[in-house]
Amino acid sequence: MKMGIIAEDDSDVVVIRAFTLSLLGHRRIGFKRFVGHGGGRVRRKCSAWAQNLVRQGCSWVVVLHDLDDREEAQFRAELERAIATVKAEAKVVLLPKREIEAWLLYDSAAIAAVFNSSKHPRLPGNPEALPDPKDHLANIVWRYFQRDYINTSHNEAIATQVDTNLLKRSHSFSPHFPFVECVQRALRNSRQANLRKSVGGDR
Amino acid sequence: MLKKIVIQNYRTCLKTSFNCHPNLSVLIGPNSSGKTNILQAVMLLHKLAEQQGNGPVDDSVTVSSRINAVFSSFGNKIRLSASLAVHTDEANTDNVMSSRQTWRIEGEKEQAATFKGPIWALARVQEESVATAHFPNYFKMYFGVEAPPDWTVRGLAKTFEFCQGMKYYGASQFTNPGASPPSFEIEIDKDGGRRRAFRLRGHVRVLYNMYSLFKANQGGKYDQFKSVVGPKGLKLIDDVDFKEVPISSTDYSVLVGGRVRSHRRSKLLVVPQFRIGRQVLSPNQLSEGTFKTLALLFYIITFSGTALLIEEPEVCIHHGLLSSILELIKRYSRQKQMIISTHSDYVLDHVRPENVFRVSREELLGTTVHPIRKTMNAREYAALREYLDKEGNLGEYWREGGLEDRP
Repeated sequence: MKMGIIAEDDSDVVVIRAFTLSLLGHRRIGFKRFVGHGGGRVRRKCSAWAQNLVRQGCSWVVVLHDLDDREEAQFRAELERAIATVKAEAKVVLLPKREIEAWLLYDSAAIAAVFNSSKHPRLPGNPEALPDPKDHLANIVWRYFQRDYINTSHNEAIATQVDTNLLKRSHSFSPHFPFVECVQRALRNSRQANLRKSVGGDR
Repeated sequence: MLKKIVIQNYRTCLKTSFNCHPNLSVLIGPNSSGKTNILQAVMLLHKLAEQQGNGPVDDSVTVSSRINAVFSSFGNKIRLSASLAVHTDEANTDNVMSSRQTWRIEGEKEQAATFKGPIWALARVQEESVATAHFPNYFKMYFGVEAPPDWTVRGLAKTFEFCQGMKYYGASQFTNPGASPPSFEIEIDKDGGRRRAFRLRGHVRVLYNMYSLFKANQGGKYDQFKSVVGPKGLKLIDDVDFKEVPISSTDYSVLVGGRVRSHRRSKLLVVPQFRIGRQVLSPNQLSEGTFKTLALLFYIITFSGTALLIEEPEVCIHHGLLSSILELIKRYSRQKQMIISTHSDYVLDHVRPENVFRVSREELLGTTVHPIRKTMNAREYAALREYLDKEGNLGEYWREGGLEDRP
């Protein structure tokens, strides 16, 4: 079973993939993706990409787009409309306030672990209020660990270490929890169906 | 920081004016529009700082090119007006044979002063710790010019440092790593201190620079470079090491009377070794893409100068890796001014419209360069903004003709 992710960049895809796997208890599911290298393209191609992901066999679809200065309800409605006709089992639109890196800034232990340090960086109380979370994360990595932060490599490493319970504080991440529960239910049902089939086969 | 440069009579730049972005300028345009010439012309400022002749500049030199530039330094606006005689050698390297420079410094308090002399004179003054009181005599005696007023010296010296601290990266320097030798030699001083190796170019130069930093590791820059290219970063290589093998050679010279004197030279054979997985590779075994990416990243991360000029950073680089490199370029452009030229719409996808400059060439005007904002009227720019918000990317807009004003 596969999940399709539509996002602005690969560094966003790897974060949502890591969080999803962590919430699913590292069950084995496949991932497919489309990236827009910018928001405009995601908006334009969201519908076609979502349809294609379903055709490729994805049962669930995640759409990620930075909210920036847009009005949330209106923008969410626009993206939800774009994927409304897509026949996936579950769909979710996630709108990080500025950048997805804000979600990584909820867990200082995860950041420290990636840079092999026991020194936990001091993080902002509300990372989503930061005007430039990516820049903030890069500055923290430099200040505490004297390393260059590379979003394409470090995002995944940090996301893998993040305690997803801490993300319950994040407003923009909150729609992902019920979505993952749907996925979990579907995986459970599919497992039970497979089990029934194999037991039936044995008889 | 360089704010503006006007280049006259240099290659295709007949009178090319370029108002650069304070951090990152991205030059786009068709082949032979003059992007490389603009980068090379900016590098003439570096050559100007390096051109340290003895004594005053010869006024009778035939002038072939002209550069006007505006810098900002310590709140001062510093204007350069220079006539240069440029010689381009067979390796396409420009050398400034002579120059006439006029520097005008405009201070914050509406002060203004002019210095008609070579900028490197300021460095000489600082190197030799010449007291301010002796400036008039010193400048008169050594450079034949009036000394700049005291309040301008700091700004001028900083501008000299800026020009001196420029670096040029062109991917073409590292074509065919198979041509790179697997090792290189350096001479060692008698006291054991390492001596600079001379006449290094291309592959060996970047390897030597890596080795020098490996030995010095000032400020942890080498470790920083390794962490970016290593397994926890971009996974280009697992490690890089430099094996040192002491060797020696003897030179003989025959003195008058037939006596023979021998000079024993101590040398080191430096063998760079790149580890990728279980393999240990020589530089000439690296692929062109790996070599170029290593070289580019090395200069982006470790170069502690003031401005980095990069010609086509996208060459031979996978797009996944390129987006990481572009992120690094954007981040480091806050520390050192960067000017890059590109043919890649993928590069444009990663930058903002205000960083992009369109280069074109016409027969009568030569090369011209304009920020794309200036090539559009308000309505066109609003349409671009809306496109980027709702429809697509800047690179796509460019590829589909949105940034051009004629077919």
